[in-house]
Amino acid sequence: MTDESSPALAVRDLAVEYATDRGALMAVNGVSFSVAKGEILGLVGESGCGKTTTAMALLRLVQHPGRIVAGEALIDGGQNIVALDEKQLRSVRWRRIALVPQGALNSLNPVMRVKDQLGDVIQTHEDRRIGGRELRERIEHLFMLVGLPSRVYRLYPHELSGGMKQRVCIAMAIALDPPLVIADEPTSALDVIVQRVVAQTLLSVKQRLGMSLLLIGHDMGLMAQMADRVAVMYAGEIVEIGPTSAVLGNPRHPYTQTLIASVPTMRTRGLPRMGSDESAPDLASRPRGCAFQARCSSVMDVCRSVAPELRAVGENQRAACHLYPDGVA
Amino acid sequence: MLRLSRRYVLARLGRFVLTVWFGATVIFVVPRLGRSNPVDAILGRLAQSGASVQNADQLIAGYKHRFGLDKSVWTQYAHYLENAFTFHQGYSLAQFPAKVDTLIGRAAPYTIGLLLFATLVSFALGTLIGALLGWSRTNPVLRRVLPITLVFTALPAFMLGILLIYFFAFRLRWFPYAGAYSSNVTPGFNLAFIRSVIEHGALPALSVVIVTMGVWALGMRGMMITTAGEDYMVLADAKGLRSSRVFWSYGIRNAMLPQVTQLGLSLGSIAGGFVVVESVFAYPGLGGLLYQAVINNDYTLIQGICFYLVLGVAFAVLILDLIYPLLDPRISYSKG
Amino acid sequence: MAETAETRRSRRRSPWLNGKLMLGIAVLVALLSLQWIGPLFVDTQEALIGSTTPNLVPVGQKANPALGFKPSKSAHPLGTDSQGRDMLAVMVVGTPRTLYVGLVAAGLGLIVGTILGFLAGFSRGLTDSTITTLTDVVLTIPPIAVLVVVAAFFTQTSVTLLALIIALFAWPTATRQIRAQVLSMREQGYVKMAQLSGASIWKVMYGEMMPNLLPYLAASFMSMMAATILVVTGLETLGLGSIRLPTLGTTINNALQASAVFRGMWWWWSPPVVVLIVIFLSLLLVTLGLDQVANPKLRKHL
Repeated sequence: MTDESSPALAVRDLAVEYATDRGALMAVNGVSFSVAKGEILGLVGESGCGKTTTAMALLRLVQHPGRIVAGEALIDGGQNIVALDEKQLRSVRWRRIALVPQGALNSLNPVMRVKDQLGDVIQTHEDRRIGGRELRERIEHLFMLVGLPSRVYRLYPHELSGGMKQRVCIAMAIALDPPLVIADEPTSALDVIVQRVVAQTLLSVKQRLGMSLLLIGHDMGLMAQMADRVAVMYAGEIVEIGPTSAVLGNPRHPYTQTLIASVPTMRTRGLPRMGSDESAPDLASRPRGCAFQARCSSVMDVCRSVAPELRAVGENQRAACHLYPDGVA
Repeated sequence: MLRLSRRYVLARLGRFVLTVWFGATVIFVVPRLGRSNPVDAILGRLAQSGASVQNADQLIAGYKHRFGLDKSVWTQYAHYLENAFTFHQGYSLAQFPAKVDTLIGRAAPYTIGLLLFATLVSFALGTLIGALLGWSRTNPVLRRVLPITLVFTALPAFMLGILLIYFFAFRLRWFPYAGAYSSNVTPGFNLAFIRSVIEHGALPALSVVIVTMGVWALGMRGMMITTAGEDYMVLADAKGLRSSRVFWSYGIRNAMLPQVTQLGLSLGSIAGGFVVVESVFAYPGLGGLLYQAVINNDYTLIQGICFYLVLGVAFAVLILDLIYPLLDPRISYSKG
Repeated sequence: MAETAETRRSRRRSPWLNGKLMLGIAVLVALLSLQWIGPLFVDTQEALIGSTTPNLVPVGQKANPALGFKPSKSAHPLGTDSQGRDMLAVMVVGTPRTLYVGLVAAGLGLIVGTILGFLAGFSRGLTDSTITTLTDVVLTIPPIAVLVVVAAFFTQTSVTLLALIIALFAWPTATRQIRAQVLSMREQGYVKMAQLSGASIWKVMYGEMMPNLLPYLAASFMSMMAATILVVTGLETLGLGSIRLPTLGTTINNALQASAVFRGMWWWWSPPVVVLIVIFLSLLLVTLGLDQVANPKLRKHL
């Protein structure tokens, strides 16, 4: 049951908690966003900010000692992934939401040929038994979409280059034509030149099939290239979200500003200015108030006592910062 | 299946030949460490233990001919190797004029059959049990019950054999305790014979299976736990594949690779342990024959059996090495 | 500064202090100490042939004279065998001797194996190939095959000599394990840092790698000990052990040769069997405990 106007993905107040020796740690602390049909939403932030955990939570792959403790994630305005039982989950996985994993170094089964790894996901999810020839044709069609030569069909993962492995993963993700694909740092572990090829493949596939894409990464350049909108995460929360051009060109939240400033350009000289305390946030002992207070150069008294909420700071752009108490444009 | 690179096959064959040669050399050298003349040594021992050897002249002549004892040690060595590799181990001392090779030929099928069967069964069962114990989604009832099968892991197989004889052959009289088949049965492809063989082979096989099963299970359990954390396992789940498929094609298929390697490494000790099991059960395989040879001070037979043991195990390892690339496609492409 | 609850908790959780490891070692030490404690309670001379009345049943059992058994005497609580050995004395003498073989062979095997394992893992190239090939060759040869030849031709083999020869077959286990660990540790950051800072190979090995290798070394030692005791007991069961003083294996062999199982003389064959079971179980426990130290993923399970 798809509602044409509803977003491909609607996440409300998602929270993921990890049990550690030092107590419970909120890796994802009440995150809400949505991805419209056919849109590419980028999710950026530094390592440990919770973006990968968010992706895992959407696929219900959060492993012990982590678990989803709150929130909902609606696919196509319909089912709430967080609430599905095992059986429902298995039918939803990959058909409605698929994953292009990080780096693809180890994401392919080393002892299975490419054709079998692509084939088994198709076979599992179709109601009828697919004959050998039809299966082969479908797989070769997928190869064509991602630009892989047909000889890859019979190869094993260790016989492929990094870029080819990643494109196999992309082919696998689109095999069932899902409405939503999550790409978790799809280019991180690759060489610069190969990164470009893979990024272009992803983009072309998206354009051809019209699916929505949740693109996770820390590469601002990639976001600028591909994403329609961008959400910036820090310490398990979204601190700014809006159209890519707005967020990257006119960042409002101090953290976003430091992120953008830290990207070296051809024109910058001198070192980027950072906050006073460089260390990553300790998610186990959150301070009262804003999570960014220790590193923020514009910190105020109110930041230490009240946690800011996302407020509009521009057209479709929102930021969670006390610098914009009433959503000043 | 031409995936085996020539280099790999040659390397493995080379290792096989090297191992057999090494073992044969040790077996050749040891008896000569005391005296220079092995026949004298043998006859000396026999005289010491009060045994008498019939047809001593024929024996000595035969030995001198076969082994060229009037020639230098190196010539003897060369002859020995030549004889060993053409399967001429000489005459048995205690059962003269029977030839060592003939005796071994008669005993070997029992050992090969039983050992092969027991090893394969224990490996398959143990690996499966270990995989189930290491898999997080196993039925909890199974998880409770299965560890019971591992109780006897810590024992040597022959000791379990003694226990089995005591309980099942002596007390309960369910199984026979010696031999390969009953004396009232004629060998051949008839049902009575086959049934008798199975009856007699049950306890010895069980000793080996129960004990080694635990070793495989423990190893596989560890490997499954490690494998479960791999990225491709996470992706397999994300793909919405059936749990059973993830277990078999993604889990076991990867986790069992180190196990197979371990199997190859353990064959030497498994064979050794089995030899003792046979002696405990008076089973007429190579182990039983060895026991008889030891009791009778049949030195030539002892040497012959030990050589064939080395040969057999090395050959089994070779086969395993050649099968391995079929299981792990990464191997024949890496260095040797 | 006062110790916080945190540090106290993490100290208590040191992986080396797990139950399996400690129980296993405790049992082994106890059995080994029979060497010194045993003679205080038991006359070890009674472990020799013909030292007491044969065929005494153990205390608490009725003797069946038709089978040739004599009633029990409190001086021989575990009974005697048909050659006049007091079973309790045999156990007190034999257990430490069997353990001794295991310790010597495993110890020697560990020393040789560690040296070769390090050499192979560090040097790569020809040294590595040579050592690896040698390791595989020796591993493939069934120890029983060579040992039977040795023991058959040299009947005066002492327990120490047997232990040394068995060590020759034990070292490959350790070499393989150590080499594998060294190979993976080489690539670790802290090793490369140490090398970059100009430390010599030996310093890197002992300073940086050894502490992390300890659980693997210990595990190798334990499995070599188990394999050794298995081989020597097997050899003795075949009748090739030392003759004068008993060990667990020679006792089993004597019992089997005298058909003790079928004559119902359970007190002859079961004590060595039981003690061997205890020894192997303890070794297994220690190995499992060490597994948990080495592989943190296993700490939650079982």
